[in-house]
Amino acid sequence: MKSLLVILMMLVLAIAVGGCATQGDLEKVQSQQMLTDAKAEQAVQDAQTAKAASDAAALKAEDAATRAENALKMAEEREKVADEKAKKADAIFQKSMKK
Amino acid sequence: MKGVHEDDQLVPKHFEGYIERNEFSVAKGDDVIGRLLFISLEKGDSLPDIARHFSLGLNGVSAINPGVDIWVPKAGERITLPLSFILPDAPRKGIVINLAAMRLFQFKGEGNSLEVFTYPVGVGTEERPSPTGQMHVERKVVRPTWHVPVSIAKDHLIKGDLLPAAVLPGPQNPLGEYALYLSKPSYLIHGTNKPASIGLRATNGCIRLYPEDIKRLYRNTPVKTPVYIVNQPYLLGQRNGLVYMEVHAPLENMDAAEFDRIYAKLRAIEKESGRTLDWSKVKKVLIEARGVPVPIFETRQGSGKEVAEPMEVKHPSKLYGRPEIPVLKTDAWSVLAADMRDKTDAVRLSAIINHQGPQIPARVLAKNDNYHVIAGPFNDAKEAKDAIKRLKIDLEIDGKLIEPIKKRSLEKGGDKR
Repeated sequence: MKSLLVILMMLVLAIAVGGCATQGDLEKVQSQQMLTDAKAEQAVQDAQTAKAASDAAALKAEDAATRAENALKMAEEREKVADEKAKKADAIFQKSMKK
Repeated sequence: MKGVHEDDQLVPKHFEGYIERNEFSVAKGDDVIGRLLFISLEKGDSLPDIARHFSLGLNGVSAINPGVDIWVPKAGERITLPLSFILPDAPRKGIVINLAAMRLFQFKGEGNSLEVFTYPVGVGTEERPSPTGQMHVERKVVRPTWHVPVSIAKDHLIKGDLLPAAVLPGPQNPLGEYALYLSKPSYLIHGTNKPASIGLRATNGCIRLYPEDIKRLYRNTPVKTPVYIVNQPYLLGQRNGLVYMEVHAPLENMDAAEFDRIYAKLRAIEKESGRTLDWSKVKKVLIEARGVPVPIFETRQGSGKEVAEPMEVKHPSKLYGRPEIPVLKTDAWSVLAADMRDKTDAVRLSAIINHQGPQIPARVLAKNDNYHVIAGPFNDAKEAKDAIKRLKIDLEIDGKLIEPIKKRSLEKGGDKR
């Protein structure tokens, strides 16, 4: 009977001790979970910020490319106009050289 | 080859060293004369001025230097002077004129002592082309009078320009100081009062030379000299074991026979040598039409080394015949020819006005952000008004008369003090 009581007490103690460890673990897990969530959220935010920055950079690059293309087109146009003006002036000159 | 005869009274004193431009010896069996030169342009140069100094036509200088602005080339730009020519496929005696090349060749002597004098020319327009065929010099006249043909008088009248029946010798006379009348009626070889037109299709069928060139040709040409006028845009010739090809932009009235003739010659060269021509090179020469002899074939091994390499020539301190621009005086009449935003356009127009014949002096003056092209100075209102008329008729420019700042009013202002 006495030994049975000892066994029971040990069992109760074991249960009690085991029950305490499970609670700590749970809190720890919960805290880690919260940290992970926060990190994930931060990562999402960072990704969004990065994407926004990347989009802005892409837009800027596209804008710069468009501007460069336009500038090139305008330069070509100016060159064409200058060529045409030179040709026109030359044609008039040649006409003026007739008797 | 001969250099320049410095003792020749008729040769303008503008040659640098021994540059061959007009006079060459022709070795027996050779068809190619002269060599190409390079020159670096200076600020204020124009291709017509460079062309005249080196006795070249504007066509020649433009064709070999594509992309170079005729009137406002860049200072420091290196251009080629096409002082190498293939003799036309015609008898080597008297005068031979190749219309496509816009060049006249005068042959003296024969065999091993054959000499050729060559000058650039201006030829007839598409509407009034120069004739081709064999003729001779019928008569020679110093200070000729120009009897205006009815057709030309009509053309001028349409533009509002009433020409007299005859233009007496002087600066207004388009025949210049010397004329060789050809046996084909109404056609002449003559000088000009528009030197910038040499190398252009600008005449009514006559052949024009620079004033300094017609002077020499006139002296060296007796009456009855045979004259052969040909139209050969495709030329083949040999020198030092090399076959050269020279191609000029064909005139519009060109027929295919000329091309067939040259093609047959090329085939004959192939057949004779037993080797194949580099036809891609031939094609390139044909397409580019630079107007200079290009080596296309070696008739003997290693002859390619004997190509006359182009030479660099020093820019002369003064270009012969370049229009002088007098200082603009405030007490003289002048004309505002144009008010432009672009400086290059203004410089170009000013150069074109300066190269009219007779010259209308013009320069560019910066005014705020614009550029004024001012013609003058003129001695009186009539002279200025005549210039306005010429600017309108010849260049479609509406010039505005600028009155002189009167000395008297200035003096009066001074008296009041």
